[in-house]
Amino acid sequence: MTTKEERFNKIVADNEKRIRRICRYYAPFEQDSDDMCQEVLVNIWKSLDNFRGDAAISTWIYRIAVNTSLSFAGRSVKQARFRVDADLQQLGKLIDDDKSDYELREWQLDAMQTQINQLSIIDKALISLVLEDLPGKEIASIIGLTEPNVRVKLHRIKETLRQSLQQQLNQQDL
Amino acid sequence: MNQLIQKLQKEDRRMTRLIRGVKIMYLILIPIYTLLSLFTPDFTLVQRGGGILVVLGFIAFTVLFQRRINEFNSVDYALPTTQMLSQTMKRYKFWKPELPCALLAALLIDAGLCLIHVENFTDPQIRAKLLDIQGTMLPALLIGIVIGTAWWYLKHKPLHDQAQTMLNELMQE
Repeated sequence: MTTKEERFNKIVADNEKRIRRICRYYAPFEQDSDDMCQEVLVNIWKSLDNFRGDAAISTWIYRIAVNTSLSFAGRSVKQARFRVDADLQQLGKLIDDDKSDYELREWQLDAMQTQINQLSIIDKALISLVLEDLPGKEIASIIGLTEPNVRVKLHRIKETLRQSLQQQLNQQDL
Repeated sequence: MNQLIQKLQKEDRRMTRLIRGVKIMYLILIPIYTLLSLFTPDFTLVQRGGGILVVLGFIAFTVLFQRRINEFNSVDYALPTTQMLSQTMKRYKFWKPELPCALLAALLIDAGLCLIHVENFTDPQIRAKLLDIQGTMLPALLIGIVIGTAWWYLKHKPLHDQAQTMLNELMQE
């Protein structure tokens, strides 16, 4: 029989990187990211007694991390900035639906980050889950929408990003 | 990490102690007032009725307090985001069924206390005292409502509106 403390320690140890990554997406500075992570850990502790194993532990962790981040970012939504430490190829996934080897050029990285920061906090949440390489079904389960609905939303976000980048590219060519 | 766990456990214990303390206070007051209302030898039927009204007010406050605690404990961040946002909106909306119930409970206690003293209402001193109590209680209630409304507007309304905006965006086709 494991205690709550032991279960908590195990869950955090197994998912620490995942939690830190999600928090980093929403917090531009290290200090904010650390505060957000602390809050995610507090909410994991609070929700632990209700965890019945109906969802996969990763889905459960993502739900807590995303919901906490939305609440946290919601307090100062105007200041919320999406920080992406992902590599260029990973960011390429955001504008390339067939996930081929689309690679952003170096100069596009800043433009991409700027464009992502123009998105609403909800769109940023969806983007953070795409960057985590989660399938549509799991994203739908985390957010609480149907899978087709998530697909449509992601398609729109990617389309917006693609168009913005195209505009930037055209301006560069001029 | 150990520090965090200790802090969390301390917070859990503090909340449990606080809830237990308030519940015990009500659970002691309710039987005492019930016994006093029913068995005080000098009490008339009207005064006993007044005592029962006070007890009903206490019971209503106990139930409301328990509901508030349950609501606080049921905040679950592991729900899907849409559900979490709906719950947040419900939690922070202004007009809740608890609000008129709390007002009713306060009025029950007030009315009960008046009835307990109503036998002496012809006595000008007692009458003045009762009117004094009402003169203090009603403005206090009003000030409480104004402070509560301002508090909701400044602290809770932004959270409610934020959750609503996010939920609307998620549910948009």
